[in-house]
Formats: sequence, C-alpha cells, structure tokens
Amino acid sequence: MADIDGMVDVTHGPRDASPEVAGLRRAAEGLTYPSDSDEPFDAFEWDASGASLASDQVAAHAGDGRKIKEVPVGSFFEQLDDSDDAEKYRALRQVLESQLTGCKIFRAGDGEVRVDIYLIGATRRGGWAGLHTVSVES
Amino acid sequence: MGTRRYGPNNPGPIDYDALADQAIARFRLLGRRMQIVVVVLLLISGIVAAVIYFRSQNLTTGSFEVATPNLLLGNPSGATSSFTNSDNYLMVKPYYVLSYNSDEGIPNWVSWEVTMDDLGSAPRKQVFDPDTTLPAGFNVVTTREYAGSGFQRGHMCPHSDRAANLEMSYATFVMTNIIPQPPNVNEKAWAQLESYCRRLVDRHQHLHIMSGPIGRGGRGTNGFRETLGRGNVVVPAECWKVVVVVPEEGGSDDLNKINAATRVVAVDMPNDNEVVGEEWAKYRTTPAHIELKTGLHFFTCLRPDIAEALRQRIDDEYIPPPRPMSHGGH
Repeated sequence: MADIDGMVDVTHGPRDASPEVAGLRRAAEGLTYPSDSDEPFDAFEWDASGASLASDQVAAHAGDGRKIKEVPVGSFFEQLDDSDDAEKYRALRQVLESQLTGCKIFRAGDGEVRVDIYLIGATRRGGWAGLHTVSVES
Repeated sequence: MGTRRYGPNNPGPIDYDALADQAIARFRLLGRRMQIVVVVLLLISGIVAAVIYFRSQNLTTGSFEVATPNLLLGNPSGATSSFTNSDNYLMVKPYYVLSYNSDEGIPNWVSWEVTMDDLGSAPRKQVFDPDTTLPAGFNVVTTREYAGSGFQRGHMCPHSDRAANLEMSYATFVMTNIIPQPPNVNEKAWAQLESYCRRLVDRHQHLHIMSGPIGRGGRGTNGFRETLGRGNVVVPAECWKVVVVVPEEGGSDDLNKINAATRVVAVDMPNDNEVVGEEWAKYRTTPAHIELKTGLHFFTCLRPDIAEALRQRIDDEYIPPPRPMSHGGH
C-alpha cells in the first residue's frame, strides 16, 4: 500500500485504533486469502479527508493508474465457501457487516499479477476502515 | 512359450476332437436355462480376456498416442491411464492432458493447445480444487500443502490460456495442474513467458505447449525446500516449457503445417526465488536439453527428421526486456 498522509496502519494495533478495527483485526487473525498464494490480511483505518466514496478512497491509497473494480460482497465470500477456512470467513463477513457501514469490496490492479483487495466501510467516527490483502493471479 | 502342461495323469498329446465331442454332448444334456448361463459365461470371459489382452498390448508395445489437439505432438513419457502406472499416470482432461506423478504430488508434464478461441476474460477461481478424479490410493494434493511454504501454486496450463468461459477457467484450478513455484518465478519470469505466448496467439498463431518440473529442491521465500506438506509434494529444482508455434493460416491440421523450420521456444528456468526476475528469454534452451534432464521424448508424432530439427533448435528471436506485471514490483 502507498504511504499517504492520513492513513494509520493499525495492523500491529496502535492505541487509538477504532473499536471497529480491533474487531476486524481479531476476526482476520491467522486467516489467509487463497489464490496462487495464501496472503494474510492487514487492518487499516483512513481518516475522512478527501473523497467521500469508498472507491475513491481505495483509488487514492492503492497507487496511481490502477484499475479499480468492485466485487459484490456476496460473490467474494461465496468463492471462499470451498476454502478450509470457510467458517472463519463466514464469521469475518458478519464482523465486517456489523462493524462497518456500507461495506464494499474492491480489487485494485485488476489484471495485474498482484491484485490488492480492499474490504472497506465507514466507521462510526466518520472515517474509513477495513482489511487489505493480496490475490496473486499469475 | 515352452511345452504345455496337461496335468500329472495325462501327460501325453490330447485328442481335441474327442474332447470337443464330449463337451458338446454334456452341453446338450444341460437344461435350456443352464445352456444360456454357460453361453453367457463364455461370452463374458471372452470379453474380459480381450480387454486384458489389449490393455497389456498398450502397456508393452508403446502405442501411447492420444487423439486430442491438447496432446498433438506426442505423449513424451509414454504415460498410460493404468492405475498401476502411478508415477506416469495419463489424465486426458477436457482442456489439457497431463502425466501425474503420484510419488511426487505434481505432474511430470502438462500439455495443451492454445488458439484464439481459448482466450477471453472468464474470472479465476480463488480456491484450487484437489483432483477428485485420481484413482483410490493416489496422492491427492490439496491447497493446504502449499500454505505458508514460501512457494505458490504455479499453474502449468495457465488460467489465461483457458479463459474463454468459466468452465474452462475453473478446470485449470485443479491441483494436478500445479507445481510449487516461488513468487519470483510464478509472478515474474514464468508469468511473463505465459503472457508472451498469448501475444503470439493474438498474432494469429496456434501454440502447442508442454511444461513441467525438473529435479528436486527449490528456493522459496522461506529458503530451500525439497518437499512440501507431509513430504508428499516435491519442489522442483527447475521449470521447463516447450512451445511450438504454428501459423493459424493454412487450415486446422497443425500436424501437417509443422516443418523443420517451425518456431520452437524451449525454456528451462531455475525454481529459485533469489535468481529469477522478470526476464525469461535468457533461459531459452533446446528441447533436447530438457529431454536429457527429464528423460522425456518430445515430438513423437512428428516425422523423425522434423522432430530432430525441432529438438535441436534454440529460439533466437529478439525478446524485449519485459515490463513488470505488478504495481511497484514485489
């Protein structure tokens, strides 16, 4: 992920992270996203500055010139029903949808070999939070 | 064959006519229902004997060729679909053909054809499937063996070569089509080579591709490993690919279009995360070199003189340095 002002990397749990983020981090702990690789999730929290659309937030953080594509939440999780971690993913979906408002999922760099995946929604503080992982698609 | 044995009490020659008469006489004494049973039993045993005979012929005489465009140039290891042949087990799948090595948990080779009709934008499958079509007792590899290993699930027949529709795409996400490759192979040089091949298809070429592993022991992001999982998946030392490039024009009979001047791109790259980068062209070699390292025999369906010419060729077309395929490198 690009280093951009206003982004707090809360993967390792700073003190001032929102309660939403703490819940997401717990739900994603030890979970990996399957593709050619098995990549961990990191939690993020972005302040509300700038764009008001989740997709614009992702575009701003994913890096210049990357193709952003929304994936319906249902089909994202449906693909993981065959996974060994299917139970954990069902729990993760519940946490996401209960903790964040208007949860959406985006692929940044669609068509590249390493696609950044953002599960993002609004926090009660009025910022953005979610989980990020990578899908390796060689 | 030596002399027949007739049993201890009857060592001499047999009067076959007398025996036949005796058998016919006894058959006539049987009830109608028993006669039918005897005829049916004879028929069944005849069919079984014929099947066993033809199967054994196939195993011993070298008639291994399979009529599918995905294995057009020949079966390079003489793989057969006999379950006793577990280290060279032929799997003729709808969208590619492979020889599975159950001892190693990876294919010996995978073979497929690519034409314009195979390309498209069908989505990928996130979760790779174990191969449920393997015979009982075979080594069925799952995604778990690869998790956290420092190696990725490297497609042999790539998803993007089978992206015309969802069924084709999903068919490539099966573990018998996969070998362990470190990120810098799978995401970089190998992916670049795959992408280069598809650009040839875009330029109206048919490709006949084979690829597979060589040797044992590669270097991933967690260092050198010989095997993954419970030791049931071998990490290859190198990855090879042989691509025969046939022009689309001139009809669909590709076998007849191949001649001694046909382009062949053969590549053998280290399965080593610390050595391999974006560039694949420097790993070009002859198919003969790959044959020497693997014991395979390519192009058995081509005329011997043409096969030999292709075997000795190193591709020398200029390949521009590839642009990275992921954002900001990795």
